[in-house]
Amino acid sequence: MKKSPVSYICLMILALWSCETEDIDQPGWLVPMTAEEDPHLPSLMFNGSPLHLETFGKLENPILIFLHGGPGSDYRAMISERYVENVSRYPDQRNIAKGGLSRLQDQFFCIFYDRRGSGLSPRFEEDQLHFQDQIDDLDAVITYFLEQKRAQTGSTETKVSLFGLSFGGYVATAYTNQYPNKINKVVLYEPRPFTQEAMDLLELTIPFARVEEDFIDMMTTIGTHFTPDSHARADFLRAVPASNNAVLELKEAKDTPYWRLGAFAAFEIEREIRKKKLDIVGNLSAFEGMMLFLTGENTKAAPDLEAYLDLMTAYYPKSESRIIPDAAHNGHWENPEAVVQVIQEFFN
Amino acid sequence: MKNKCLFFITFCCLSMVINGQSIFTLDAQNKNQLYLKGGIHPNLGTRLGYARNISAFDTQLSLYGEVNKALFRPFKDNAELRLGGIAPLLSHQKFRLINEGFATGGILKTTHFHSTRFTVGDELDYGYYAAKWRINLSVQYQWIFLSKIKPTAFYQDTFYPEARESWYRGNGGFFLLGLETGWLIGKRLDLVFWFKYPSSQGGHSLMGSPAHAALEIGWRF
Repeated sequence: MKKSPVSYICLMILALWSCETEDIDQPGWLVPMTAEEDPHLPSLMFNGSPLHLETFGKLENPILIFLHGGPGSDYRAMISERYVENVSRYPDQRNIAKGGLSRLQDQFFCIFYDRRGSGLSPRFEEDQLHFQDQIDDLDAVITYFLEQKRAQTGSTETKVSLFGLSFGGYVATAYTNQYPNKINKVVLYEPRPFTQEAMDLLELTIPFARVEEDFIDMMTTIGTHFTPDSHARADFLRAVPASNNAVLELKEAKDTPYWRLGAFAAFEIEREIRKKKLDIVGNLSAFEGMMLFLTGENTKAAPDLEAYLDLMTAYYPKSESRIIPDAAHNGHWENPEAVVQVIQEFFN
Repeated sequence: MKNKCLFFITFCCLSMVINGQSIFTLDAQNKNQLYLKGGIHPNLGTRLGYARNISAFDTQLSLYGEVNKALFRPFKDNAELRLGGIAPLLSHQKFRLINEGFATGGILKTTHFHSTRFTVGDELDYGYYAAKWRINLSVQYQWIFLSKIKPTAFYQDTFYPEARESWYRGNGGFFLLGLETGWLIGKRLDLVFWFKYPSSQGGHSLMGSPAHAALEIGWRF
């Protein structure tokens, strides 16, 4: 019997379909499980969600909370050491104890955590991801550790300090704007622009101008190999631009490690900020502390850096800025010694 | 930037195709078509293909096979083979409903993983088909029914050492919704332009180009 080409195609599809296969959305196969799925991860419950969280140092020291970038990223690069170790998500499997910015543990009680929807903290559906929840979680973390400190050391301290990296800098500023009396000092490393006016001072290369690059070819094809409709697929896909210099001018080091990049958080929170045109600077005049603004010397996002720094630092009543040498947007990863040094000088 | 725009426009203008219009306007002598098409679909690439019109099931069908290559990357890094057939479903005066069924196999190398994936899909076109030109709406669904994903050493070293290489199912599917228009120039030259909006079946962006577009020219013989 003569078979048509259609028959051969159907037979081929059936043969492929009968292969032994795994569900691509199975937890832990392509991206790590979150604190909700993996009980071995260090976490604490805040506002009903187990947030992936670790502390370094002694509680009697001043509290410094580190806010990672993203939205959607995590704190792995902040505690890892380039060319030495990308630390495991399980603390007992690490070979280093003072990697990256966790060097500051001798001076501070350092708190690192992944915000909801990000890193190894639980995922949320798009309609459950709101910027205000990130602020509320940070407030819960601050309240919890101040109470712990009071109970364990008898401290009467009512303030903490914040370090915000990139989008974490935006979160730190929004928190300071809402709760100016709870913050001692703020350190921001190349924070997301606080306002549209500041955003307009940046010049970022549009993807079309990079059309000949492998990265653009990957990104335009990738969604036809698996779609970003589930968390696992979207997170796996999101990692590709993260280490391919998606925003050219930020010159992000390609080897910057993450545990998981929360794609839904990345898109939804940024979308909400743009849609609602949130005001995160209107009440900063009530903040009595100092803000330190850090920029990597190799970052080229603002053609007129001086004007950009003037505008961004002016939102805070008291501020200063410093340039981190041999570093771009991921200075905490590229040159943590320099970042740690300026933080120490700022607090001393 | 200006040079890149000029290059892209020139590339599209010099590229070539086939489409549903051929099965209605193809004359008896020209059953074959060799074509090349260019544009963003889904990446910036070019497709080389061959199509042949046949008569079967009391109607005229067009069967085709084509290979897609990324414009700026080697064939081994991003390529796709597509086999399909185009058949008319309904016709009323010059308004027609056309169905295109197809299957694809593709490879993609990224910094984080290497993927080999297989899809099946169907496209419905409805519009006005005159003797020398056409305009139609197009709806396509492509189901990614199987992928082999191999995480790279870079991904495992930098992100997730436990990432597993496997054949995966449940990769989702996506739609392409848009508009096509085409002309038959002389007796042998087909010129087609289409613009389509991609969306995953869950309503998400595919994280690539927000739109697919191609300019196509086909030569009948």
